[in-house]
Amino acid sequence: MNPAEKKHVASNPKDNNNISIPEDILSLIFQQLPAKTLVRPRKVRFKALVRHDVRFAAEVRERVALIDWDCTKFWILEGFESAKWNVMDILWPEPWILDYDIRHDEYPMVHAEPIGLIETAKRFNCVSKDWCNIIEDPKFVDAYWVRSHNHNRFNLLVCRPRKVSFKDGKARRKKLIEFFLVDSTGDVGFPGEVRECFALIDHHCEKIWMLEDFVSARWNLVNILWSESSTVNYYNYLPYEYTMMDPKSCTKFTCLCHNVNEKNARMVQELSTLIDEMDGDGISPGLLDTIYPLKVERLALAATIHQLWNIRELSFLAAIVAENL
Amino acid sequence: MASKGNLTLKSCNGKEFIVEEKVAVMSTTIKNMVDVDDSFAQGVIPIIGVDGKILAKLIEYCKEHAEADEDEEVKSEEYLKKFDEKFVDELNLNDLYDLLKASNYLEITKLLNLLCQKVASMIKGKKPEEIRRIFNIKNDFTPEEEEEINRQNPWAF
Repeated sequence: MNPAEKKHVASNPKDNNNISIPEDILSLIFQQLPAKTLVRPRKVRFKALVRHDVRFAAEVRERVALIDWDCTKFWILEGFESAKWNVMDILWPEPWILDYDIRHDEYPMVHAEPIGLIETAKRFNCVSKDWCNIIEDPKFVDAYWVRSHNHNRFNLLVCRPRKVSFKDGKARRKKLIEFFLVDSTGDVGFPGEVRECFALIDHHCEKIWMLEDFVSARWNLVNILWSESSTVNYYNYLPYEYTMMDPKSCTKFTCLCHNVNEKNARMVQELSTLIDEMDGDGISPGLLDTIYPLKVERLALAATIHQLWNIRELSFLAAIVAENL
Repeated sequence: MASKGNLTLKSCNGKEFIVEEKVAVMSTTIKNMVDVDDSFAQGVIPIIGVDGKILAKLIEYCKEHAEADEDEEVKSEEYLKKFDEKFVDELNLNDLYDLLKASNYLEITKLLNLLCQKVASMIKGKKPEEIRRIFNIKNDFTPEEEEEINRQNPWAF
C-alpha cells in the first residue's frame, strides 16, 4: 500500500513545521513507554467479593487488588481465561509467599479494585487531541495492557481513599482510588545496596510506600526495611521522575538509611519535615550529618506529613475498606 | 537491471539502489511484492513516498541486520545493539520522522520498533509543553478543554 493511502498519514514536517506522527505509529510509540509512572485509574469499581469466592461472573482482563477485612493481607490478582481470578501474589505482609493455588475458603477477600491500566501513556493525552484520542481508545488500552501483562510486570500500588466534590452546594465524596504503578523493569537509579529499593509517594494522600525487589526481579510491597548487613547511608530524591512535576505542587522526598539501635532502617521521609524534626529533636550533629547528606535540598513548599510504612498504615487500609463498603 | 540475487529499489525522487535480495526482503512489503509478482524481482521496485536519503538509511540498517541474521558470528548481538544505538542517535528529528513512516510502510518491524523506542525515550518524563515544542505540535485544546484535561492529569504538569 502506498503510504499516502494509509490512514492518518501526516504531511511532511518540513512542509508545515509540525511533526504529526501517524496514529498507528504513535500508538506503537506509546506501547514502548514503560508502565511505571503515576496512574489514575479509569473508574473505581469496588466489588464486594463473596466470602470464599474468588471468581467473577465474567471474564475480566484486569488486575485487582484485594484487601482483607482485617487489613492483614494485601493481594494482587490477575484475571485469567475462563473468568477465573487467580491469586498471583501476596504482596503484604508476606511478600515472599507466592501462592498460585490458594484455597478459596482460606482467606476472606472482601474488596477488589481494578487498577488503572494506562500508566505512562496516560500522561500524554494532554499533548493534543490526536494524542488524547489514541490514548483513550479502548483498543489502545487493551494493547497496552496486554503488553504490560506479557512483560509479567508487577505493578504495585498506592491508594488514595477519596476525593471530595462539591455539587449543589454540598460536599460529596467521590469514590475514587488513585494509584501509583511502578514498572519492575524501570530504572530506579538508587546507589549501592538500595539499588533495588525505592519508594512510592502518593502526593495526594501523603503516604509513602516502599518497595524492594524480593523474588525473581519482581517488585514487592514491603515494610520498613531493616538490614543488619547494611552499614551505609543512602539517599535519593523521590520519586525518581519527580522532576517532571511542578515543585510547587509536589513534595520532595529522600530515601535514607537510619541507624537505630545498631540496626539500619531504610526509610523514606519527606524532606523538609524531616529536617525540621531533626532540628527540633536536637539530634547530635554527627548523626545529622550521617542521616542528612548536605546535598539534600530544602524545599520551601512541603507537606507537613511524613510517614513511614508502618503499623499506622493498617488503619489507613482499614479506612479505605470501611469507607467504600 | 539488477543481477541475479539482487533487487533494484527506486526512491520517489528517482534514485536507484541495487541491494541484495536478502537485504531488501527484510521489508515485508517488498518481500510480498517480490513473492506475488515476479516482475518486481527482475525490474525496478518503486518505493513510493520514500526519498533517496531515507531509502539509503533504510538500506544501511537492513544490510547490517540481514548479515547478522545470516551469520551470527559475523555480527554479534552486541555489535548490532551498538549499531542500532548509533543509528538512531545520529538521526535528526525530520529523518527520524521520515524513517518512522517509511519503516512502517515497508514493514521493517525491527527498525520500526527501534525508532518507536527512540521517540518514546524522547517523550518519556517530559511535560506536555516540552513535547509540543520538540515535535512542533499545536495545542489544539480550547482553554476549557485544557483546564479539564489538566484537572484530570495533575501529575503531568
